[in-house]
Amino acid sequence: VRLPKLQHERRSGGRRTHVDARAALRARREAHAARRAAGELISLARLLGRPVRDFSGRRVGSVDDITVRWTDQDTHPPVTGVIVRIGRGLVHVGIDAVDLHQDAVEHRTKSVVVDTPTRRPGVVALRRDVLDHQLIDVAGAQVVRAADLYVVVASGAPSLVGVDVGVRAYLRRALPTGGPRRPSPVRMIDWAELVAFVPRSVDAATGLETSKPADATTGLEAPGGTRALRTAAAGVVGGAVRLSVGAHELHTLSGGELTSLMEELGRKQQSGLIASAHPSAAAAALSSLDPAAREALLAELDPDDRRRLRGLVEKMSA
Amino acid sequence: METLDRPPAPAPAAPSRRPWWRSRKLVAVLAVLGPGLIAANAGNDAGGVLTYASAGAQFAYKTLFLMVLVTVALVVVQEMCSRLGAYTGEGLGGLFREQFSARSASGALVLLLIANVGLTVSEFAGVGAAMEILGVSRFVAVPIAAVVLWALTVLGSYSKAERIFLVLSLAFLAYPIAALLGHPNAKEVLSNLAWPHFPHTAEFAVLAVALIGTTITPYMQFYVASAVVDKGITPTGYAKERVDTVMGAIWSDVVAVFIIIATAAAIGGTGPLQTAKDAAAALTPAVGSGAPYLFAFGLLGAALLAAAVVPLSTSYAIADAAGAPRSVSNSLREAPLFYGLFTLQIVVGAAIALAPGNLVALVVNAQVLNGFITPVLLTYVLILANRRSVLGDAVNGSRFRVVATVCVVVVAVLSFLVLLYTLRGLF
Repeated sequence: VRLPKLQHERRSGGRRTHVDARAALRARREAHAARRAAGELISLARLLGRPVRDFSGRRVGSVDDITVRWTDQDTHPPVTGVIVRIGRGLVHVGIDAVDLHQDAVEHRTKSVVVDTPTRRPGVVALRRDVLDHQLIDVAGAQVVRAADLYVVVASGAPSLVGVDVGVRAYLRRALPTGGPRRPSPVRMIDWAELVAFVPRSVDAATGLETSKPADATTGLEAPGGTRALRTAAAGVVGGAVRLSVGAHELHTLSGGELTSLMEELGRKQQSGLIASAHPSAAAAALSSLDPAAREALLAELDPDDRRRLRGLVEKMSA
Repeated sequence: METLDRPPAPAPAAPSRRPWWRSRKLVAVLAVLGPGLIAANAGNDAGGVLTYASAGAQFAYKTLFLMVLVTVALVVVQEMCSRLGAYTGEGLGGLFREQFSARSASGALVLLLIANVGLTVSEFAGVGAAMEILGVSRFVAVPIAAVVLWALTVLGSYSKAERIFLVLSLAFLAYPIAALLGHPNAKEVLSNLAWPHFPHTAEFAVLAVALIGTTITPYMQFYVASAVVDKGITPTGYAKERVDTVMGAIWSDVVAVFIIIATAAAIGGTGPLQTAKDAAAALTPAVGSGAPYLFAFGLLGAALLAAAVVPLSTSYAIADAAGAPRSVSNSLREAPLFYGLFTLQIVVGAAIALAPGNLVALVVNAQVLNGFITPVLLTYVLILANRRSVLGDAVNGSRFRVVATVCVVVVAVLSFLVLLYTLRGLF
């Protein structure tokens, strides 16, 4: 859409200045996009302590933590489960058994299998390991602290999208009145900007160094040249999560960028489902989409799958 | 704040010959003066000196046994804080945020801010008192000091001024000499050091809380933990740091005890200090007629040093917990929270110090406020040092845990009693 070149006038220091209406309109659109995206985000800080309900809607416990799997393949780690506080005890419920909402977690089925929460390789407990912890830059200097974490449910699969590092997000939790409870990702960093957990010093349990420059793609090299997990130092007191950039290059997502990220995550989830479905069912699902959405989904697939499915779709439409 | 920033990467050794003041031997000697020693000595600021002098003037030697108990508590508290810094690599502000709920952590930091605003008030009152001895009105001296300190810090040349203030504050080392030359009653001194002779009065209880408040300041606890982190001390190097912390706490209180003895020998039992000039009388045996001037310069140096360092360390702790930029190397635009808090403390501190009334009483009251807040913040520190999930094998042992708990409880009970006295006096 070509925008009209309107010009507003305002007084500033006694002189007339011209402000392009495009900038104001762009800002309004950004704000609108941010508000729309915020409505779809699940805030970890808001969800903590909220009820976990069984299939009949009865409260069985409260949310204590959320776990995600963070490996080299996961730029936006998928949620693997919820740690539920029942009385004084804790249980872990797999994500297949529950639905995440902004104010509650609900069981999907009448009976749910639970297990004891244990620290597993590649799995991160977001409250314990990330919330309020330091995010450090490539040089090892503390840049910010994680004030909130946001999960988005794309095509039924929840993933961690980003970290809010704003003071406003922290005040929302700290103020006695509670402040505005709605997530407001004003200073949100894309989780893909984060590289790995790092301990504070070499004599920590893992033997990894914080001062070592981060590997741009994988995280860290452990002593001896073996590749260490991104999560090897998760949960270490005084540890931090390292960013892939320097302090001055830290980029916070705009409303538009957040919307695009969520759409991209949705496409990835859908393409994952299509890739794992039977070819005829996948082709039928693709046929029901409009051409642009279909092409965007096909672009996410392996070349072989893409060729085969495109052929099937063309055959079906013929 | 430069001293609290993470250390930069070590620079390669310069090939040129070192001047004498940077010789290896001197560096080795100075290396012993670690964060613990510096933090504990920071307690002997303007507020500390005037409170100790007031104790000597009002109750002569009767507070000496209390100072022995306070020294034990100071050693315990400072050791816990430096251990937390060494084993977690985080300052107390950051640890509070990570280990407590958002509301608890922010509540503790608000208390720290209140305590340190009180301390800043007492530092500016110290500036005013020192300048009045030198014949300059505090209504001129305090605003100028506030503006100069703010400008020096924000415009980036504070570190040079800090050295001058530090040298000025060394004037208080004349107190041990004055205490010896003042011919105090040795029998009475030893008796009061070894056994309590506490008067059962509300005035003594208030002064006791002020002595605790000025010796075990929350500011020192936050400072020592951050300084240990800043110096890069890790669990492997902690044994030396523990010695430094314990020695620092003891040395700091030895100086405090000498201030009390010197003042008690000179003007003991004459009632609360009315002016800072009275406190200077204690230095007369050591320096003769120059005592008021030596005292004034010492008080001015200590007050100016702390008037900048206390607000800076508060801003640092709060900005650290908030995850906001927090260095004097940042510009105003880059670190608005850090500089905003710093400015707020300077403005409020200087404004209250200009209120009409007795400056010495204002300083002692600020220490009483610190005394009320200290046990609350000590409870947080104690909880952290008792958590195995935080300190691992370095967690408080069972005996240490008992001693530390007793220290915190005694301080809390004493503060509560003084609060009751105060409220009873009001209604």
